Amino acid sequence: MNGVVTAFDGSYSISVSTANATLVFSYLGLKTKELKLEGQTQLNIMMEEDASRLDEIVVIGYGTTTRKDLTGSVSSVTVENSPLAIQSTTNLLQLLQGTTPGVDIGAISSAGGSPGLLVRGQNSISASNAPLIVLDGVIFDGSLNQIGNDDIATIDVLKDASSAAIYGSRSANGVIIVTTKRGKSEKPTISFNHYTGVQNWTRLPKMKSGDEFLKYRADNLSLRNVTDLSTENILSAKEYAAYQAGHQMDWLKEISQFAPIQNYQVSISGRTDKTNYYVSGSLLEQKGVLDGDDFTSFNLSAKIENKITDWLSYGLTTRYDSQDYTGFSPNINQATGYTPYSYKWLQGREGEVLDKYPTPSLLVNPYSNFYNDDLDKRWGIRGTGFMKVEIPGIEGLSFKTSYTQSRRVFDDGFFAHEMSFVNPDVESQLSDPQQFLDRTSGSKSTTTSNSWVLDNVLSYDKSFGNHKITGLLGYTKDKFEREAVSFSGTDFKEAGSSVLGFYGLQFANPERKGGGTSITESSNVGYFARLNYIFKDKYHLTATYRRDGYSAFSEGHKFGEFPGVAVAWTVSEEDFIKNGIPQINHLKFRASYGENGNLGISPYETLAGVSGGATIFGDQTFNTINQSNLANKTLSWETTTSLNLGVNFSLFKNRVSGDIDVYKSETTDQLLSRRLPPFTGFGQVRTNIGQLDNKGLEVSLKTVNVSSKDFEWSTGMTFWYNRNKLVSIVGIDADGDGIEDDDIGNRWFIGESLSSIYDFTIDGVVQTEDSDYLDTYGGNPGDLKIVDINGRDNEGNLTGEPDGKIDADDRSIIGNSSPNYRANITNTFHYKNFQLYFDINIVSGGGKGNHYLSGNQRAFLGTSTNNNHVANWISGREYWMPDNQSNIVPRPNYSNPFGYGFYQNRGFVRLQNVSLAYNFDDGVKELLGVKELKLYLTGKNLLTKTDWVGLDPENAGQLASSSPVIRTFTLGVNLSF
Amino acid sequence: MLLSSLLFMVSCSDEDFLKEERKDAFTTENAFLNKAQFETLLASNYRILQTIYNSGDADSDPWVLGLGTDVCFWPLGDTQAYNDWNLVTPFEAYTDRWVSWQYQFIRNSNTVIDAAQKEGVEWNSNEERDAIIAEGKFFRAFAYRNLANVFGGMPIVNEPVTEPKVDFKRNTREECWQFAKEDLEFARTYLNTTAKYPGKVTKAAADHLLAEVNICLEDWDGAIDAASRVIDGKDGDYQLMTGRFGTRANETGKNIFWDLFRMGNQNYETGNKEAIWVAQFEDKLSGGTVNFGRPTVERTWWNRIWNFRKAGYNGVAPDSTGRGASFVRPTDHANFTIWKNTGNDLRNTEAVIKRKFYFGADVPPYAKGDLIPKSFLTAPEDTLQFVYPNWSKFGTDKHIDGKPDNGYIRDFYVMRLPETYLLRAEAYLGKGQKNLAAADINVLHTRAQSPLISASDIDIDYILDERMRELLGEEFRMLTLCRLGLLYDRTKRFGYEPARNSIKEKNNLFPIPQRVIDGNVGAAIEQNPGY
Repeated sequence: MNGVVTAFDGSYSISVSTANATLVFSYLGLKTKELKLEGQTQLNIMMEEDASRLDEIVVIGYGTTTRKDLTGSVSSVTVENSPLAIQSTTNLLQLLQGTTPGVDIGAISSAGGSPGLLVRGQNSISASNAPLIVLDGVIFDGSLNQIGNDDIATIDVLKDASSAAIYGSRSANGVIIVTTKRGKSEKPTISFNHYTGVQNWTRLPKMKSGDEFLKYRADNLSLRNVTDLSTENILSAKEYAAYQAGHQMDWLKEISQFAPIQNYQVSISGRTDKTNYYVSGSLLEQKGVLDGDDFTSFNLSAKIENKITDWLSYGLTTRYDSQDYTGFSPNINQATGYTPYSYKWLQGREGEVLDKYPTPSLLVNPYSNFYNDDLDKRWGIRGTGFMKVEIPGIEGLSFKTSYTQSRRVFDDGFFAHEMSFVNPDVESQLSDPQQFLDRTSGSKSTTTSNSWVLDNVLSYDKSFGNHKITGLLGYTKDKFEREAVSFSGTDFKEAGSSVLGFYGLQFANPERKGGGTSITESSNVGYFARLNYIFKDKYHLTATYRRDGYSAFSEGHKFGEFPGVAVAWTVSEEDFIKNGIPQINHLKFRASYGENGNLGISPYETLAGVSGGATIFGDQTFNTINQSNLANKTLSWETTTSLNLGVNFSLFKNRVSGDIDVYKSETTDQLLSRRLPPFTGFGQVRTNIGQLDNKGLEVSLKTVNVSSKDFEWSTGMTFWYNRNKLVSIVGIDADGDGIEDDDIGNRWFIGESLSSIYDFTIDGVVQTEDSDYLDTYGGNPGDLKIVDINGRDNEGNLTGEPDGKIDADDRSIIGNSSPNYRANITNTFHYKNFQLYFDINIVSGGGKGNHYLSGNQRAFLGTSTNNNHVANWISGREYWMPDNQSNIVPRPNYSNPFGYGFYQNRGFVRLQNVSLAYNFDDGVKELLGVKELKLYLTGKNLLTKTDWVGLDPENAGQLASSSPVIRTFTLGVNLSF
Repeated sequence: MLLSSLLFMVSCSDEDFLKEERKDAFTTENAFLNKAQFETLLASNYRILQTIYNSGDADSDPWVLGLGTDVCFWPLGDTQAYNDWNLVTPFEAYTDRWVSWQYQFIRNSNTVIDAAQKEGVEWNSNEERDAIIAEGKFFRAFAYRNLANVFGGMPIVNEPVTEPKVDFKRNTREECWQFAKEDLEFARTYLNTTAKYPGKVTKAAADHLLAEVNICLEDWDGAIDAASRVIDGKDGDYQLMTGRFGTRANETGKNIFWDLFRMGNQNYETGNKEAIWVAQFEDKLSGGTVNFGRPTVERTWWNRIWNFRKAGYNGVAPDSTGRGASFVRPTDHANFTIWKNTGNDLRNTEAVIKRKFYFGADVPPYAKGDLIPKSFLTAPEDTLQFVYPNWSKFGTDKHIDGKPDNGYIRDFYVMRLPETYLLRAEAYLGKGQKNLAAADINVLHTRAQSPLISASDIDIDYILDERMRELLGEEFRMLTLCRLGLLYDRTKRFGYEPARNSIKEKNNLFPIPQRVIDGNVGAAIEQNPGY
């Protein structure tokens, strides 16, 4: 048996001893082919990509395996060359949205924004629930929008405890492993990817205007002791002038901008038998849908791996990334409430002076940052070097050491110039803005993070006979530090000008400038081991152990231990299936159990910190200082123990395949941030106490519905849900009923979901004729009709019966803020050179637990208290008035004295992604001399069905207080040669 | 590289590598070791005091000054809390906030008192240490008085909380007052007579507060003695100001009661001898204000004549009127009733209470500058929002930088000598010595050139009305009325109509905020009766 490696152009020659030899062609990621020589002397083969999911490489911590050999619950998403690759997303997490059951991804609502992310529900009550991100094998503490989507090859999500245990202390919230592209062909490939598109609001609310606005204002004032409701009287002088001039503004439209998005990426990659390289650069220019929301990012990366001898290889990866978020967006709250009878600019001074105060209230022009300067730039550089030694003498044993250093810099600046203090209605101010130079102020800060990670791993990989063993032993340590330097200055009267902005802070009044410095440090160490054993490809065993230390825990409590074990049985390898049930191509049962840690607290939380501020005596400033939190001398790990049962199957010639997982986890020693009674003088304290259980079901299914020469149709479905239950908190049973007491202050209820909503029960709105209700409970018509559901007897015990008054006892669990379930359906059609892809995302509320409620006060009450007598509100929504009694929305001046949350179900069904791609014919490509040429059109967040009132349900978008979720259309091209 | 990483692994032990050290901030271990650090710690209590006067907009700050009682109300709608007392529930936000502030005072004070007595603290003398402890005890007493007056008994916390304690129990109201009294006896003994800086508490402040607490405990003699130590000069040289003084003393047509509230005139150190304790505010200075760049007192209390469209105003406020927002209007009792039979009381002159307002433009048949007659004010909002008396203690006609919206920034009297007289008068009344009570009030009347009164005029109502004439918008009226158990009675008789109709006897004590009850999971905090 002998072997050779092909040359640069793919040619090869090999000497064989018999004319009937068998040649085996193999390459990572491609299907292995065996051909009998049968006397031929020239054998040309075309290798094919390995389409079977079973042989897919799955990246697990500090190593890889194949889907076939996997024992845990790992979702893998192949991005490279899949329909996902052309989705118009600016953050790679959105590629996981809907495609990976158990992973909840939120929406993006600003240019360069990051979506929310949660794996298998919330395990921690009050510490961090953020999953660990691993980039190309190394723990990554940056933000994922530092990596261009076009550079991503695969994303793997470790969900069960045994898989994640290798990352011990940081794994309890799941692990997301991002792997970037590598060189694939001997011939160097140059790729160019580009898309260009436009974006807008998924749901743009319509505000009142004209008569509807006037009526709302008059109705509002009539309830506030105003009797003269003539248009002239209810409008301010300036509003009235605009009214008479017939001028109105649609402010939400005004603050929106034409929002183009453009992305360019170029990469050069290739491989030889010794070297693999991938170099890329990308540029993204994105405008958000709000005026002034502007984002530019630039990434550069280079990756090279080289095998210098049989036993030694090394690699080097460097990445540079930069993001520029500089710029202000208008204030959406002000724009929502702002009167339509107003002007953006002072008449005659368009583009120069804002018309600021249309009414004598706190409503100010949404563009109030127009005169100010902003700076928000970030950049980072990260380098990883590794060296791998195949230890001579012992086959399969290797040692790899890798070191990563990264540095991130945040540059922030702000300056408010004198024009921001001018009231444009006062001529003496407008003519002399310089008088406000003593108010001008600015700040500039630079925050620098430095971190390094050192990994040392000894691996063993060996097959003999029916046995296959892989194992590893490792030691890792990392350190993170963040330093900030800031400077601020106020009063540029003596400087005579504020034109230098935040770069001229040194010219501020000497008594009113100053700065600060800070540093935060944390460090981790970890020891880990993993053993995989496979017998006859049927029986699989994985055992994992990790011991971790984290600096932020209390002295003597810094270390934790996290074991995991998993077994799997590939039934389809058994003869009775292999020979008896040909419909089953693959069937594997899995079970795993393990403990994962969560270190989700910040440094110094265990120390009794003091915080400071300033006060004055006379005309002198003095520092203040006071203890700001309680110390905890025993704070340590939060641990999640979980059991996962799963099955993978592939049926009917692989036409139907899927995974089903069920899990149950217990998170104990919660890093609980307990709210303390005000008597302590402290708001909250971090303690290791309490238990939260999660359980859930995850299903993913893929079917190939039609597969013919010209037409292929496949469907993917995912469905998952998670439920949690609070088992215990601090263990207090003050009322002595044998059951731990609820902690109502924190909204923690024993035996209930952590996302329980505890509030009053509402039965519409009190009507004028509800005299019984008004006589019993007081209040006024137009109030919320709160239901009296409970009361107390003479001993003070709850009776469960109405008691004739509305009080705290009338609150109960009325719903749940987490979704009932999530589901997603994708369809991919190939017809000749066309590929059509779309997916529908479903996040369902309702159900038995009245799920997915979210507070939506702005859909029921006008804007904030100080403005609500003059502010605008959503169009077409009826509200209670004495002569038009709504039973849904209370009177416009309702002050909500019981602090009710005004919940709505925000479940939705959304056509989330659509893409249509065209691959050019080989003939055309040859003619053009290109290897690949694809044109595509995509759309994101196209149609949404929901009962939610306001902005987008996906981010529980409340009128005036949330940012718009973005809808995108793009046109793109992939070109490589 | 391989070698160096191996070397690195062994060269540094895990324990050292994971050791946590705070490099950029103090902790309780090293923050309270000398006098300067204790002064800084105590300064945080003065920050809370500033917050009480400058935390919220609208009717927020005036809450403790008597929102919805006999002194003032929200004129912009009748269906919100304190116009409608039914809405004063355990969910009401201002009471909730009040509890938090007091226990922050108590937390800081307990840290002072405890840490100052620890070994390893550098003191130059025992006097120096005791004065620091005395200042801590003063604030603790101030907080317990602030709590006990409005809520009744609240849990007494007399040492630093070091564990997450959640099973506090209510003490009685008397225990709280008694606890405050003991602290104040210490404070008055060890505090200095004169303050090192304007705004710092002194012996006199402790005695003033002690007088009130003794009244609460019906220790009339103790109250009289404490007040007398302030009045008679034993605690320092305090006197009622009688002549014109301060930054605008030369302007004619004004008087002493106007001077008292001009910017820059409040501190004892700048010549105001009746100022006992003054909360400090300053424009454009770090720590000089808390929110909005200024306390919103003028905006809150003054009418919005500048936007009175039908009287010819255009909605742009000039320096001369200020930019009131009529969030809080004095009651008719305060504006009118209490001034009956007061002769030419200086406190009721046009300079001190501006009652005359003029047309802003020609409004036929009236011309610009004509007095707006009563007959013109026909709609309810006219006198609720646009034209009602502006008390000069809340605003100015010459704003900082000419800015009518936020250019009135003065210090706030927490304690002023006239109140010491009023406290002593109350104690004399309690003791049955009405003639002495009348004499104390006549000291105030003499200065105000108001007709003198006799012993037969004296009752608690008279003292409460006199407090309005002298201290409206200064005294914590909520606390005064609650400690006397008269919040219901006075509001019922003299409050704004919706308040009169909704106030109930239970309102003499405020509800314990539900957040407080819910947060104390380890023991029940009993709600006050009726809530």
